[in-house]
Amino acid sequence: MRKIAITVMLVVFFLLQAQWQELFPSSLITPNFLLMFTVFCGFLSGCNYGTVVGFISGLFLDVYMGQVLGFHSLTFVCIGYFCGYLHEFFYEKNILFPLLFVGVSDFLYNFIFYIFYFLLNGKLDLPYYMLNVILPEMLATVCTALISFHIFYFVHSRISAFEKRGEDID
Amino acid sequence: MKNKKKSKFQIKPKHLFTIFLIISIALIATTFFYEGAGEPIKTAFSKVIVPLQRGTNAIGASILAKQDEKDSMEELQKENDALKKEIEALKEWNQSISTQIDALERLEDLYDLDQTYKDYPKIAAKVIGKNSGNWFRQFTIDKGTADGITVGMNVIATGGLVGIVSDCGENYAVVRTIIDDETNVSAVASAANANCIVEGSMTAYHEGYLTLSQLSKDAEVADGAAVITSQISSDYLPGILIGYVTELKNDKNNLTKSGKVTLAVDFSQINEVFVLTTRKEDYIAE
Repeated sequence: MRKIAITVMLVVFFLLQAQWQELFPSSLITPNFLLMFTVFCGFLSGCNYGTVVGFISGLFLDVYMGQVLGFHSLTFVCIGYFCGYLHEFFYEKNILFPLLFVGVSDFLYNFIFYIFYFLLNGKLDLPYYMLNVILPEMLATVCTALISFHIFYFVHSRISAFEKRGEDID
Repeated sequence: MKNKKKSKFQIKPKHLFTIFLIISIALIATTFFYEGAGEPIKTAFSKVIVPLQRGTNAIGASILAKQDEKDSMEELQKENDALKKEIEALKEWNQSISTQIDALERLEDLYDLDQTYKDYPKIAAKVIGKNSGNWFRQFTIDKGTADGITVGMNVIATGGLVGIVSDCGENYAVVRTIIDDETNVSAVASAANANCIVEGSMTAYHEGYLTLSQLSKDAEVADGAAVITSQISSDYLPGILIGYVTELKNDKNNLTKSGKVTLAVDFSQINEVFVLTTRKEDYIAE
């Protein structure tokens, strides 16, 4: 049940991210839906889900960007795993904690991306990229997370209830 | 720690994490050193994703079309307050005509372009997705190897050069645009026939131009001169318009000039493009 829901949401979030500029041509920046989704999965469903979802969504992005495969899956797996680790400490319904981590991991991901793809190509103007890509994307992603967390949490609690019921019958 | 027995996985998270970590690193290594090693994965993904993308694209287009319709209706009503009797007829008429005119204009544009670059055989394609992240300036089109597209083919749109096919699957192709940070085009400033390099960069594109460099100091190039792709470029076919020169300045080395290139193509509004099926290699071989 949880797996099906996660798969469907994964595809939906990927399509949203890939088609964002097509659907909303006037928007300047694309929120990182897949990263947000990975963080949520880790937080709400634990390490295993975080890792697997991180890997798959990273691979989606890798394939889509047509660069060397593996960069995104590597960073996303790490993000998913560490957020899953925090699942143990996660006080449910406390939205601040996951939001903070969406922001932090988006920042880290983009910063690593900048280092590997831009800094090593001799593009040293970090403040520029910071102001025009990294920070706006972080802001956009956190804002999207703020909205979609409630939907995501609703689905999560429904599934949890469903799973518990299943266990009782067993 | 383990009082939450929600997950029924047998495998420990630590191990799962390590496995995926190793897979990712292996992927990076193989695809970095062997080009084309990632093809099977890409093909598998594109089989599922591209049809879905086409679907969402259609939805997006219809939403936009509806928005447009609404806007034009509102304008009409303001203008025709006095003509309330005629407004019903006008609405209908306007709607059908305006969509027809849009289509006509677009086709006329495409036809003009077809005349300009008629030397090169080409395939028309639709854009189905644009940069999924915020770092690269590239887009996906709905034609792939099945339609005869291969990596290295040039892509043009109304106005001039758009980019080059950087990655290709069976039913999709990724176009790296000339405004992407990783693109360098060897070009010619047309009037003086002087060689130069046109570079894409995110910093420059935000301000609406590309950077031009390594133009000989002695070349007499005026502002507004057309910049076209050069014969000596290894990737791009000669004679395709890139843009127009502005703000030339002598470099510090006193040997070369550099400046800016205003783009010929409006990159914010690319919907249909042409893929030139002659690659530079084939062109040279001829």
